Amino acid sequence: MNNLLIFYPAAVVAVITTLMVILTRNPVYAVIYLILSLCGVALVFFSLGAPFLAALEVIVYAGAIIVLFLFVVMMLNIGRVMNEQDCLRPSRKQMILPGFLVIVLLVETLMCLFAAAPVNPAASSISTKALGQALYGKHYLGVLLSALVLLIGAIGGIHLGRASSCPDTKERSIHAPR
Amino acid sequence: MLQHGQPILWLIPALPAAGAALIFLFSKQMSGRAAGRIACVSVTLCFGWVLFCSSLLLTWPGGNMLFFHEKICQWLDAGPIQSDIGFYFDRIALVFSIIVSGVGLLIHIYSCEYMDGDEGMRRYFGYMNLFVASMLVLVMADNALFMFVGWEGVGACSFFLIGHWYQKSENCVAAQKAFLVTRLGDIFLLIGLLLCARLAGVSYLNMSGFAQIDDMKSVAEFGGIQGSTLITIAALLLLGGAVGKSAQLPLQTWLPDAMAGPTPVSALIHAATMVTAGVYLVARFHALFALSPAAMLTVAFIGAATALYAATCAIVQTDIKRILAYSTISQIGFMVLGLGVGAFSPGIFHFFTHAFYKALLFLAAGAVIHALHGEQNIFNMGGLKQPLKGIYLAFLAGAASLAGIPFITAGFWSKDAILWSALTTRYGNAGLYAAGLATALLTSIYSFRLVCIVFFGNPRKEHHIHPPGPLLSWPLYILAFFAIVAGFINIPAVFGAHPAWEHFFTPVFGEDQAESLVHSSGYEITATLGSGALAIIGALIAWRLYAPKREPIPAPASEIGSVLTETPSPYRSSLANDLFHGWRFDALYDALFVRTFRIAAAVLGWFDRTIVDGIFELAAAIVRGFNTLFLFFQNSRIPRYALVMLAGAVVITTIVIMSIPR
Amino acid sequence: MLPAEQALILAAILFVTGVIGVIVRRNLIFVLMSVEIMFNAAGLAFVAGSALHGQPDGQIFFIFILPVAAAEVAIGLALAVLVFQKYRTLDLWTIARSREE
Repeated sequence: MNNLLIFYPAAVVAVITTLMVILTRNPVYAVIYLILSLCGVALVFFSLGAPFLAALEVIVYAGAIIVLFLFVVMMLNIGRVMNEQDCLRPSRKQMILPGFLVIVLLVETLMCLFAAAPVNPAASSISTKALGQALYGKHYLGVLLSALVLLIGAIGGIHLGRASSCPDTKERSIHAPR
Repeated sequence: MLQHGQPILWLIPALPAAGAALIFLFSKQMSGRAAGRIACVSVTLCFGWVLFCSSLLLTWPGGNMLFFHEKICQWLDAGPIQSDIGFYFDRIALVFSIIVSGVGLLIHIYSCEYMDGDEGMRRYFGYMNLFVASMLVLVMADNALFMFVGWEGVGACSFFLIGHWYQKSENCVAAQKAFLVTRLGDIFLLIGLLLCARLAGVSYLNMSGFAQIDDMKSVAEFGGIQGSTLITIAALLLLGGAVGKSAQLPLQTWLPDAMAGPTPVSALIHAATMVTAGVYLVARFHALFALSPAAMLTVAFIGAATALYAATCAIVQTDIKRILAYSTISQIGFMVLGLGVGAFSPGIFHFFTHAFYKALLFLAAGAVIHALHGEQNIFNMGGLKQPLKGIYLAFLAGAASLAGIPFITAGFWSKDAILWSALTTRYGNAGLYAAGLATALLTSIYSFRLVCIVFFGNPRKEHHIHPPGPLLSWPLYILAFFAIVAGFINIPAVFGAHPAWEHFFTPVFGEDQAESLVHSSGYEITATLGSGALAIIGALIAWRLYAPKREPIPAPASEIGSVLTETPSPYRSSLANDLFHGWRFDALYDALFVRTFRIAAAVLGWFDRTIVDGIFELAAAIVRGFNTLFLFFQNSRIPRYALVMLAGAVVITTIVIMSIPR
Repeated sequence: MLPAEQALILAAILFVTGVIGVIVRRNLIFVLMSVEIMFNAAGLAFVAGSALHGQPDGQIFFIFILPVAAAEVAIGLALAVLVFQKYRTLDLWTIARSREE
């Protein structure tokens, strides 16, 4: 019951803040809402018996990845510019098809979830030790692949950062007069 | 196979390669002179190590050390094709690597002054070092595939160096020509090597005395062709490679044009690193050639024909470097003739002496060109004896050695050994001998024609002579010394000397070859004196025609003032002009291959444009139809993409739900 | 209903919210953030599945999602910066229109 006490408020917070992320106009607010949403999900993790992942969620996701968004938003200083352009919401007619599809998808996903055979819930939560052993035992290949993905991401980031200093884009760089 | 206490062989090619790597990696940080210094040091170290390895091989305790073999690692492991990286150092490799590194070293030192101030100096020295390294790999590789690496490396480096002054388009054309013509030979070589390996039933040929020759002999039939015919074919294919690299008939056309590069490069190509690779190849595969009399005869015939051909061309050239280029073709022809008649060690002996005097001649010619600020036409020179005394003496020594002035020059002894073998060995005959004698006469005439026109008489044109520095002259003096004395190590036994060279290769070439050299005292002395007399007669003819007279010798097609180097047809007689153009081989190849190719290209181009392209146009039209369809999905707005993906996700989910068993 | 199953529903809701964000928003930064929401929802589904089955594998897959998301964000934001430098805007429709011209 203790878990449910954590779960429901956290879930509600997560849903509301996530909705705010896609509804708000100011990107800085959106980033902060996203951080809140992730913290909510982290609490859900905690209630599901995955405290280590809850910590990871806060530290890596909220603390590192999302803060990167914040950096970029700050760096480009686009808050005001964006408000003017982003005000243009799609019209209702344009929303009919996506809205319909999204609702169908949600319904179908839920149907999938409840059509699946019921499982016996495991009583105990998985300890961090068991998690670590499985990670570096059965799934060591995945760890290597993740390392590769990160490496490629780093190389890509460096490459794109260098490309921004090539003469073609330099003349239109941020600091150049309009 | 690693003997206890044998020296590290891979250091030999690795040292110049390391020099090249240093120069290329840090070329932005260093000056051209520093690059030259690095190149010289690396080749010096390499030469020293070669000498050390050689002395170890020759003075091995017990005296029965035939070769060092060192396998570094496996290189290729691709099913039936396998090869190692390994080095093999026997007496052939010893002689070749001493020449390559030693003469290469002198040329490097010379280049330091010759190329001083050139903007491409770092590039130049990098490629020179790489050139030496490639050639060392070529002569020391322990198997045929690895040898091919060096073979191609040499070709690539020659391309880069001939095109060193790439700013002028004709230099690039010359470089491409050299590369493509030798490439043609390389294809033959590669097919030949693969055929040999297939016949021998091994994945690759190793070089240790060519031990698989028995396996090749025992093949009775393969692919419907008889075994002995196959061996001839294999030998001829290898010969094709040698012909391309060594500029023999009919692939000789690239070498005269290769003069576009800097003069030290020409010296390196001609004396040490490139054109002698063909000689090395035939010598290395002597066992294969010896199996097939037809192949041997072809080799001998090509050698003799090339020697004669190039000598006739050299006699009318006006460009000092082209004369030397044709003389190289001619002299390599002598070597090939020697190999073809079964006289392997005289052939290599001629390579040995030729390396000295040809490097000397080229470097001296380079010094003359340097002194005259780039003048190459001999009819614009003259009277250089006094101002360039040292170069004159060195050049004279080289020319005398090239002409084969009897008894005192190295070229005489080596050429005479080949001529004598051409007459007397199993494969030799009087025709080859006669061609060789005629060539010897022509050689003597054109070498002294060169000396007379360039150094004697009055200057035909005013030049501000720029005196050579010590780095230019000293390599010349060293080479001149060797061009004179290098022959004394193989004076025939009939003159009461000990022919050390003749037995030097017995462990490599075996008794086969040693037997085929005939020595009969009376005739041999006569023949030697005869060929010596021919050389002197040639020199006298040249003196008679071109000696300094009161009237300076008129240049052919002369106008007052300077003679253009690129005169299209300098002579009045059409025969002389044909000779000047190398018997018009280029025009022949142009008509035969280039024009045929153009016609074929035109026909195929029409076919391609109308029919083949038509099919693809149709396909393109269909695709364009789809394009309009897909444009809905791909309208470069990310929300549209997301929408399409969402639709896909919905479809997949629907399928999943349908497939759940109820 | 177990909390794990409820968490699956939560994951579905979050995911669909992310999808709506990707489709509706015209700003590149917001699109990227919506993609992050979708990533996170997928991770939540994994963890919920892990809790449901009592196996560590789902949690491990969440750990694998982390570097993928990190790499995606790094490259996506770098591209966003480049796009901004080139077009002076992050509005996807404006960018698409100026590319077509």
